[in-house]
Amino acid sequence: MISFDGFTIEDGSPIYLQIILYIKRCIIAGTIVDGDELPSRRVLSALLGVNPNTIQKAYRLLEDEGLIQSHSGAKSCVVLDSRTLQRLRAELLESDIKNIISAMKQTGLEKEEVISLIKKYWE
Amino acid sequence: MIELKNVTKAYSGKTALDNVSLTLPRGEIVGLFGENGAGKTTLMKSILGFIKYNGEITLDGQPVTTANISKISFATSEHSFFPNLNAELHRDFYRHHFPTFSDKRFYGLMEFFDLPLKKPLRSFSTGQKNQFEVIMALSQGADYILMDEPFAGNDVFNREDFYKVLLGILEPHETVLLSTHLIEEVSGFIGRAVLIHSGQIVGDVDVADLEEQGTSLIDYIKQTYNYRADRVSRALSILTDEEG
Amino acid sequence: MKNKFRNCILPGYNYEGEKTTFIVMMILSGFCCLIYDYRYSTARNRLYDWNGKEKVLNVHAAMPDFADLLGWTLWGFLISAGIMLIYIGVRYNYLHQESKSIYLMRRLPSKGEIFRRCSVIPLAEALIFVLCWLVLLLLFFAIYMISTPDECLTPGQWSKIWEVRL
Repeated sequence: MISFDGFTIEDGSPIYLQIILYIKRCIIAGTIVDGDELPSRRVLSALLGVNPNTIQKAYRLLEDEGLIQSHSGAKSCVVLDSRTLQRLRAELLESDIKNIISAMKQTGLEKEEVISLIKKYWE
Repeated sequence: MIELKNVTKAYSGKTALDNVSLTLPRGEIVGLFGENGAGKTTLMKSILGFIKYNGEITLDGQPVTTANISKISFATSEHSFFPNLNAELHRDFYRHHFPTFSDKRFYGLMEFFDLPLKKPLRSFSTGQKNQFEVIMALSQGADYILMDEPFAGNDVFNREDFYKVLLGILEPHETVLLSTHLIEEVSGFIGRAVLIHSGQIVGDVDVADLEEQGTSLIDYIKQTYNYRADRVSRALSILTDEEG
Repeated sequence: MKNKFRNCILPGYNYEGEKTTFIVMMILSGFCCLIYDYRYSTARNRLYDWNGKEKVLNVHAAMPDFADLLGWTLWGFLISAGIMLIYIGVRYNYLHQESKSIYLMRRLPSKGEIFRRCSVIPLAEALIFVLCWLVLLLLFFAIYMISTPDECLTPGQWSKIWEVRL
């Protein structure tokens, strides 16, 4: 069963999005693999202290993306293949990098400065 | 569904509820927010039939009478238990009157909150009394659970525990109406927020919709009340100008 | 029957005060009866003269009216009945003190719970006092009529009781 121990709710973005992101990151990190079971909506709602509708929304969107599969009555399971994994990695990477870039842009840095900073701090 | 239609309640001179219309469908967790004296308690007491009002309130299509009142339970910061009686005797009393009473929930929650079964309620701390009050409201077997500031006096840890346990045990058909001042705390827990101000409903929103818009519950409430963020600084500048 | 009794109990209500009042008032009222006993026997004795060692009835003596002898001595029971009725208010107030158990009582799905649990026992207590009053009244009257020598009885004793009352 997938653990949510490492998950904390932050301010600033909708909770359902944070849940989706957490699951995606775990998938990329390899802590969630194909076939892993998700906690039921009610259990997760109680665990996180979050309204069941929010959990429902997160699970529904994950299902729309083809990442999880619900069987009526039984718990939802993660559905993964290497293609999905790659797609996810690319998506999250793109989104992370875009966030960094816009943060850098906000501080007024130029592209070359950013690249040299990255080279400096890579090690 | 509980439905309020054009409910008005006036006390000598003061209008506690002003033409309030509201529906509470089954299965929702609704937060009721408003300043002191806004009408939150009056609203709940009207639903329960404790006070007379103008207008109409129905429970699943019927007026609220002894025939259906067991579908509603009530937890209040004023507490509604018998101070001399212990918890187990309360359970007996509830069981006798409410056939839907759930022993499983009662004993489960009493154990979870580590409350004594055989000591008189009077000997409980305020926090424990609040917990017991809510336990009884949850164990009654009601479809609509009304809670009026149930956590006044509980520390944040046992409040959080409580929201989580609540979410874990509530069945899909159970409805919760919770009035509280603790907006930020309950914003994840509730599915819908109703705002009441001077007896009128001034806001009614699905929390999911707020999330889509990117507005936090507190911001929504502030906007609705036309709260001016610069109010404090303006007041200060006036004060300091006078002193200077 | 036991169930019916249980339905009249007010949960958690401290019955001791009410019980003590009941007992004390019963004793006090009973004590007042003794005063009537004393009055009656004294009055009856006065009907007789002593002739040496013998008691002789004075046939021209009139026994004081029952109503006069009785006077206020049985009022204790009626006052006590009134006092027990006050406990209806005490019980109702109990539901509002410390914790508002009135809210729970008003949510009960059976009708008349508050009335029953607040009123029935005090009403029964008051009724007991009223019955005591009635029984003693009849008893004392019977004794008066039977025990007092006929020659000394003034007619119309029963109606005289009620004239005083009214």
